[in-house]
Amino acid sequence: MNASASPILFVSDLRVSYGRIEAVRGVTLTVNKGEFIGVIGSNGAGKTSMLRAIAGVLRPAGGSVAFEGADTTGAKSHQMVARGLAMVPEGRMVFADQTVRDNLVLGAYSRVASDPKGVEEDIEKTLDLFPRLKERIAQQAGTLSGGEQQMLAIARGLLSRPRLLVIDELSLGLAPKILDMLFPVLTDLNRQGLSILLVEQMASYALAVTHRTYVMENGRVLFDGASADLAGDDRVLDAYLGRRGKH
Amino acid sequence: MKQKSWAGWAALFLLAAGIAIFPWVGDFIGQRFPTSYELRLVMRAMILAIVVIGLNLLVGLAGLVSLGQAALYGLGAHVAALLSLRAGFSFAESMVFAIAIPAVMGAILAFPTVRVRGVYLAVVTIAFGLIFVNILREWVGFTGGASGLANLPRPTMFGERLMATRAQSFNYYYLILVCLLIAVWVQYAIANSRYGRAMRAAAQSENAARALGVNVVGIRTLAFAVSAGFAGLGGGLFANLALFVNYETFTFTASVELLLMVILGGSGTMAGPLVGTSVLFTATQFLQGLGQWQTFGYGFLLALVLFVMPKGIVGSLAALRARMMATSRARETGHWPNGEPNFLNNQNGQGDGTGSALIAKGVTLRFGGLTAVNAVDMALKPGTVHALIGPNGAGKSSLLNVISGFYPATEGEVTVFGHRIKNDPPYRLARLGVARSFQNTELFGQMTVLENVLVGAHTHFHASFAETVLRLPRFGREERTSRNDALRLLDFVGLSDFADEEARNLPFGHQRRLEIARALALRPKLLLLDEPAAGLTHAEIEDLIRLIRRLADHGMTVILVEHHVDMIMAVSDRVTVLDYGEVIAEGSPAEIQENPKVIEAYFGHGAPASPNAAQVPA
Amino acid sequence: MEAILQYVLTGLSVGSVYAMIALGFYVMWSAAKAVNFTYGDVFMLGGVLTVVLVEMGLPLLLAGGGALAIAALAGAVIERVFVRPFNREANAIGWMLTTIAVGIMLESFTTITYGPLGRPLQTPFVEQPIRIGGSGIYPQELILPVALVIVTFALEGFYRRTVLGRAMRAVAFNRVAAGLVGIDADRITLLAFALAGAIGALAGFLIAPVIQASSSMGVVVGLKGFMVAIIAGIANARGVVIVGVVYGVMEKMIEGYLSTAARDAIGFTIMILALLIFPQGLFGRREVQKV
Repeated sequence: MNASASPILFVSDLRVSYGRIEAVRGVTLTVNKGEFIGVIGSNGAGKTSMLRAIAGVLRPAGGSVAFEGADTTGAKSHQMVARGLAMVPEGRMVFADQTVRDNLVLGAYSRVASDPKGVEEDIEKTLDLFPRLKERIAQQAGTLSGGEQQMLAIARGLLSRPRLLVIDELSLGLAPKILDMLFPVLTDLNRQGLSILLVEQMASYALAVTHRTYVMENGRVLFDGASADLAGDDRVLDAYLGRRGKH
Repeated sequence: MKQKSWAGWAALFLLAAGIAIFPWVGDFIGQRFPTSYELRLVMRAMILAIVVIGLNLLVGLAGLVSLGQAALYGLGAHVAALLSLRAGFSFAESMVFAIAIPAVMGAILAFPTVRVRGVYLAVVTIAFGLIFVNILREWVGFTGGASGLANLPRPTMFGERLMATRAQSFNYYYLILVCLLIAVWVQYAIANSRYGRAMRAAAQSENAARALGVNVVGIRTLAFAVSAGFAGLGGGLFANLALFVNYETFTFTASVELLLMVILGGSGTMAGPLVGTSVLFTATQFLQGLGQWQTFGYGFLLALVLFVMPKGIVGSLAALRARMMATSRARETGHWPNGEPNFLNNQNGQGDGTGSALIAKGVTLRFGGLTAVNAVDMALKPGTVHALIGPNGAGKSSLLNVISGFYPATEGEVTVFGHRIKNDPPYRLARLGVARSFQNTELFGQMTVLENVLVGAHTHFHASFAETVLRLPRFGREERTSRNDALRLLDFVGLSDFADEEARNLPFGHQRRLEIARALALRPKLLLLDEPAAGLTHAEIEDLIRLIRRLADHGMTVILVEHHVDMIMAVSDRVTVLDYGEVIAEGSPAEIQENPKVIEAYFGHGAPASPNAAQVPA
Repeated sequence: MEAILQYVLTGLSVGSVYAMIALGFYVMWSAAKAVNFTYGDVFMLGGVLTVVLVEMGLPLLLAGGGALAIAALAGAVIERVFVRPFNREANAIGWMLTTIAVGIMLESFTTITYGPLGRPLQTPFVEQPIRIGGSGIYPQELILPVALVIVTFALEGFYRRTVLGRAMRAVAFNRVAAGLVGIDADRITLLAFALAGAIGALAGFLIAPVIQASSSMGVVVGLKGFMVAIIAGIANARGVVIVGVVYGVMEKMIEGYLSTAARDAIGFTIMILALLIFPQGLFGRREVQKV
């Protein structure tokens, strides 16, 4: 486990509402430098809303977010990118009408004008992680398969040179075969020092690759712990399928 | 609430009395006042107010922005002028056509709303207005072109010449006043009836309105026709006042002016059109003093209103008043479910021979290349709760949308209580007894809690439009019964104290309750709930479970799309699991819980679960 | 035969103006899902400001450039002040009314300061008409289609080749995703309105020598341009250009073979019908209705 103990992200009592709907009801969560953190829970547990508030897509209704020690509560998403937090959104959201390469260039939007050479090098390096994208570099992103789009979304996120990568529902709509390819890449990136916060519905995957895991339900964190411990914990399954084994 | 409407009528009475006395003011103060010019101004303002009231119905209630209303106004004016000038029609005859022809034209204009709204509709209405002016200007032989139609015969009625002179006791002036008061009444009568509620409902949430049995196209056509009828009435009165018409009165700028009057007064409010017209008409008289800056002042005023008072004068005052009243008392949330829903019983026949509330056979739904629902078979027994679960994007909501008529199935068929649905629009399914809630609670936010429930009862009203406007007995009877039923429903879900609150001001949990009460007002046989527990607290979910059980016990069939597994296990009789649009499992809740396919769909392979491990005491 | 040629040429010329206006609407709509409804007045600024600057002694091209710059600035200001605060909710039309207010102010202010009448703008291309059969056409009118082609390709190049253009497309495609790669979507929207302002002013600058620059030159042309954009399916640049040009040619054909007087009545009727048959526009894609 990679606990250098200084938090890169500290979320405290975070609340998110849509109008009157309270989707997140006071979540506290820490990602330490170099950690790979998972957040699991069934649909509608508030995981996505929490991530969106962290990444600046939504304004939190309460609580605070601190990134690398600085208070970033309410910062906008483009400002968070500039600070070093990149998010791979649910549903991937690749720019379907642009080529794979243009998507990648846009990933490096904030520095492509000042450092085109560096960006080119970064694109090459990122493509080495996902050889399938290399083959499709000139294709429109919309023509990619779901798995390839997810690779592109991750690659695009990496091109902003983040220190924390936030991923929402990596597995959404993807076949297990693809997931078996994607997760090792994340593990590698993490080993190279990238902190990762992964929200995932498929609990087994998340528990297998992350250091620590938070289990959410109904807008709150039910419990958290070392992923290895939680993997055998029946409470996790209960959070998905209800209390089983009723008499 | 009661007090407020009383104050409104008193204000209207004072206004009407003031206008009625106005021609005679000179007698009291011993001066030549008002002059015929001033009388004329008041008459023109009243005529505009009639047109603006019509536009308010369209914009404020039905939420349809027309930027061609001046053309309908002009159409009425030209119909009246041409009929009396060319065909020798009497005043009364020509007025009938001056109202009817624009009304029909309005109904035709409503047709685009079947397919387009917002900006697109605005473009259609602008184009209509431009076409109208173009024809008037260029068809010189018929309309006189720029020189217009002049020397209209002075209107007469019952042998009396209609004029705003002392010799004729200002009879035309009073005729216009009467028309204005009728317009105010009709506006009030529509707004406070199922028609007005349906218009507002369709504007605030089209989908919810359709799901509750509102024929949205029909109600919009009605709004357009009535609105155009008022425009035509105003036009006819104007032609017979000015005795001259040409296109210059009815250009795009005039349409903008009419819209500005609606917005300035407060669109959707009852007093708004009168206030907006008075204020703007007066302002225009002053702006004339600005000479060439008049138009600029106009634009500035429009911008100012939108920035400072986007709700208009009346709307802003009402909001202010509401804020001051809001602190006055705390509201009690009642228990729910409160009592038994017996009063819903009258429609819930379980036995209609088929033995199934709903049968789906091979239902497939494709969007382009994407298959959202793939060959789904389902059969539901009446009076049962059937849960539909599955991971994100499994096609649950899509299936629900097919069953409620929002999407026509690409293949396969759905039978509801023996009725095969094929391309039936949602409102027709609602009339068959299918009600639904929405994932993101689609309440009519700017209507009161009670009004929301009343829209749910839309299909149970039978009083015709004429009966409604004339307030005939059947209207009153139905309105009273529905109100009582609605109040009982609010009691059932514990929202009695909130009846007069705007729905959007309710806390979220209450909004869910209201949405269910509204669906129940339809007295459905089949109730579709799309994630009703999302965002609710544990206690609220417990209540929801009891409510659903109670409905099922009274014979209602319920389909439940839900993620809260505890809830599904507690409430459902059967569970169908969808994944990638296909049914992967079906069975009792306990069977589903242990089904390895289901566990994999939720967890991924290698899930840390085996049936044997599930020995944790509940 | 000569008549047809003349209708087509003049039609191409006026159609190019519609197409450029419609392109401006496209640029604004893509970025903001809202437009400056009285964009015709920005077009008018292009013509009127050029005349004013030329009268102040600036050379023609410099005056035109100045007019473009001012119109771009006006576009940006309108976005920031009158569109953005009224475009918060989906399907809101507050911006429609506020921009109508701006249009009224712009036009009446121009009428007051510049005068109600049109003023000529001299260029070398309106001195001598080219004779085609009985009537003539100014070379200036032939510049318009050329300019349209250049603008269309330049815009396409901008959207495809430059980072800023790609960012604009990214914002158009998905504002959230654009924010997540570090694009400030609000700033991009502002720039899009400025770009549209420049395109509209360019059309005004180019047509002014033919029709004279007046404060009222923008209203109807702006509305027609908007209708063209809507009919084409406002999210499709090529479609917008094609429909604009076709509409221009069609207008001249109607004038030539049916009636000058009924030109707009017939043209608008055709537009309404087209919109009824293709509610998403001729080149638009049907969106799946969300429930």
